[in-house]
Amino acid sequence: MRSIRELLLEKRIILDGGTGTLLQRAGLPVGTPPEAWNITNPEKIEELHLSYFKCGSDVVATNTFGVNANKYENYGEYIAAAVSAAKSARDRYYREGGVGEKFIAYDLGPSGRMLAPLGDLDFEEAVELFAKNVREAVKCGVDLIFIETMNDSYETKAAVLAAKENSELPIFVSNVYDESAKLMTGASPEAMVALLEGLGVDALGANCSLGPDKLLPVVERLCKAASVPVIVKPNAGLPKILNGESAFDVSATEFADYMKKIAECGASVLGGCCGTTPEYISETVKAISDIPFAPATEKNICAVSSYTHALTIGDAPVLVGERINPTGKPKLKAALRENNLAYIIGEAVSEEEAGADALDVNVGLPEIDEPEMMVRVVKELQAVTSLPLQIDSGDPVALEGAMRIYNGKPLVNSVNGKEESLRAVLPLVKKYGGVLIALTMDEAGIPADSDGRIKIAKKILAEAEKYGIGKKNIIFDPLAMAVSSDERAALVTLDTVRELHKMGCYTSLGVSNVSFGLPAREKITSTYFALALSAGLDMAIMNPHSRPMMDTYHAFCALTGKDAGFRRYIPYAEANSEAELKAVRKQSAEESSAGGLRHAIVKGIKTNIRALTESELVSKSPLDVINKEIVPALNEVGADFEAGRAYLPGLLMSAEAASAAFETLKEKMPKGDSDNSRRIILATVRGDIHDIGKNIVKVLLESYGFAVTDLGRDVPPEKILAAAKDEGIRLVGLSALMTTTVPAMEETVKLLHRELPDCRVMVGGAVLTQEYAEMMGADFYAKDAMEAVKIAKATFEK
Amino acid sequence: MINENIIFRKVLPSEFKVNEYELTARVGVCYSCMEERLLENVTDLMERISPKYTAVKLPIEYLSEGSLAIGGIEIRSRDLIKNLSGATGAYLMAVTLGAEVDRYLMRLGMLSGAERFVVDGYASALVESLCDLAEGEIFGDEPHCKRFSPGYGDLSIDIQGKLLSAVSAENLLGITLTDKKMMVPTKSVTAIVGCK
Repeated sequence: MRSIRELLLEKRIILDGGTGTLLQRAGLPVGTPPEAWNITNPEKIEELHLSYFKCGSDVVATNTFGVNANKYENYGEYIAAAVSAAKSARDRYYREGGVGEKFIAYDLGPSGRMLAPLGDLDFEEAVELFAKNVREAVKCGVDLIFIETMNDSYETKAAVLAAKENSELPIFVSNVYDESAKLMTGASPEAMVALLEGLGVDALGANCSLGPDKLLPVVERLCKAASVPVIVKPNAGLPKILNGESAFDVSATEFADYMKKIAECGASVLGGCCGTTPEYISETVKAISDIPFAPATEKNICAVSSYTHALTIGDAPVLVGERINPTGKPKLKAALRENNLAYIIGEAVSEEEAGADALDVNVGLPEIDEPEMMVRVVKELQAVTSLPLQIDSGDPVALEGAMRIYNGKPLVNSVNGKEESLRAVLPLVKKYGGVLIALTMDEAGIPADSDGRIKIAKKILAEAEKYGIGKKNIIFDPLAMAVSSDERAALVTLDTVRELHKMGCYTSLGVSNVSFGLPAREKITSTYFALALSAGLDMAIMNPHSRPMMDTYHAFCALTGKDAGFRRYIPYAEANSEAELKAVRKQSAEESSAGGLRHAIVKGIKTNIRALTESELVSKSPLDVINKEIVPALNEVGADFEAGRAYLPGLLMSAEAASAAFETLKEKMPKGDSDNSRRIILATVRGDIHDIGKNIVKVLLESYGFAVTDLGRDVPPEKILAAAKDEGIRLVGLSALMTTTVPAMEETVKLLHRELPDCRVMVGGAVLTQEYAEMMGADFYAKDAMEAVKIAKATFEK
Repeated sequence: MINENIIFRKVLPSEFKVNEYELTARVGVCYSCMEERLLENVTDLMERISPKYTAVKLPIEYLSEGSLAIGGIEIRSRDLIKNLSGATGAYLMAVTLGAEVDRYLMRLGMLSGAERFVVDGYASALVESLCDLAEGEIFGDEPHCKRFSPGYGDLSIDIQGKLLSAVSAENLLGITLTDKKMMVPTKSVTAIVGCK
């Protein structure tokens, strides 16, 4: 029998239809999962598959949708029984005179758990969970793997990796889209196409959730973006809505009519999902029989993606924020060394707000574990920003770690013409997908002229071709060298950009480099940017906070027809006009004179805190600013809160404003002010994931100048102990919101007191009382956040 | 697999408003007293909610002392039995605001604990409003018991999995459970509403 990969090029593939409806009609009791019948009533499963083969399905999916090692210890038995029933059905079909090539797909459904960070299933655990299924399926002998009904892009990736790493079989992937044409966790059709084509699946598409009519817009978008065959497997409408319509409101003939439109769009792998029966499939086969088949065409789209959307390269120029890179940035270096991810997140969000389309992420510092840090930072960033990321490292181990867990299709920075680099990086892009930045340099260095760089580019193209990585997934960086060391440098790079553009290749530059060594760098950089854009530059790695650069970018787009209706230029121009900037400066001045820092803290206004703090420092020492401005302001707000004149949100915002002031002061304070002497550990104990209370306490403690290590939620006692030991901690705060986690809190208290007799423990949380606290041996009970502050002050002022 | 008797409704954000009482209870301030920046966050939140609910009517069988079965699901809870006051049927219901809310809260949390606290409270109050709306649509003018959820009184959250299954919550609403039996998306509620 041939591989289904061949068939995909020749004809439409007909999948099967719904299972649940048929099994329920055959007597499956409500509440019994369909896979139970693999063991108890395999003949009924065989019947089901046979009826689909007979009505025209080329592929049946095994009855294993809900089977995995978490749900069933003997999952192997269920899988074996399911495959066996499908094989029996196929044998019987041929014995009874059936014709055609018939395939059996292993049905891999969702795990039933949400992946971190939204849920608690770790990515690698998810991969392994799916891998177990795939290994069994391969043992039993199926023809392809069908990953379906996935409503999360991250879980989809885990399943695809599991399939790729444990079998050579073709992979079909189908996702659940809602009426706003997105997956539940936000991915658009274009984002899924980018991710899945990057991973090299054989077909992709949509199933379940909606009927064929409502799914049509999604199908149109999929067919437009995908270069591989598109799968469409809709429900028979929607289940009953309140006004009493019957469940699954689309009939077999109506269904087939819609499927006709879907086939006309170009989708070529068709079937039905919940509510459909063999009749739906046979009607569909009839309805599409006249429509000529054409295999999927190459769309030549260069795209990367995040968990929400795809970013296309080649239309308007793309801006990649360069700020998350320790080179020349002492604050970022410090943040990396101190594990201060919050700072890095802040930088990312601020680049996003300044208009970056994607973010470069580079954490290369000799004294840290780069691969480990890169994975951690990428995970944090992709939880918080929906911009695609550019994974930037010279260490292939760091690249691989991040590419593997990235929720989307990343930009990969970079590969170059050296043998070592090509051998290390190209396989990673082949396996995980990505758009690869390729530097035009090799073992001999950076060629001084354009021809030399083009030669290297061609070599990289040829090598990449061997891995199946095409031009559309490579962006060449012909290297912007400093014009101060070589007057010709800028022109050579521009020539190379022009040449590459003529060759139909994409280009990128780290533009700021060009002005290195000259005064007033931004003047040079921004003009160079304009020249490069003119030469056809597709992407720039730059500082989105630089006004001259953003001016150039917006003006260029407006001038070259890349900004329809000037819909980006006009708001940009208005927000950055001289009048607007003057108004902002005036407001700052007013705030300074109206009681400045103290006033801002009392009002909880964080925006200008740095400027206000700095103006205080003109006439006061840092310690005076704390004791004469910040603390009195907080005390005022705290007193108002306790008297019922101010409310919790205001209290928190004041605390945050105060913390921001402290951040500024920290930079000016005399060294030797060790944080650890006033450091407190906070954690929500094991088994509990509520953290609002703890987070409030953290904000307040920091506002009063304490340093806080927040271990997060669901933290086991041993981890808290280890952290306390590590940093010589004198006060630990534990939080819990559920009665069921109080024992874990007690265990933690006891462990800490046993191993660290000098460490004090305070406990808090909605479920706790003074009594509970005493019963478990805690040193203090904090009934609210202000109380926690009082306890901290008392502890540290001893 | 979707239970064929299920009620499923996708609700537009404009169809319901936050329950003021719940908001104040959680956040310590009423809507009209909230600072401007927080109101901006609320606007951002409202752009990210995807409110939906499912429900199914099931028969109740009272078993031995302190336990009952709803649609075959066995539950031990004296407090639930008290709440139902002899009802012979109940609607199981699951509602959610969707996963994008969780993403937004995570992002806010990284930037400002204060803002996250308030928006989180607002979202929780919104979910309660959605429950009110669902109840209103399911029952109309018919009387019913006060809704009762796992975690109330002695009704353990251990039955959460079975409840979610009965209303096809994973399939239609995308609700799953963590190891510790917490629902994801976090702004989700399951409830038992007895018929009178």
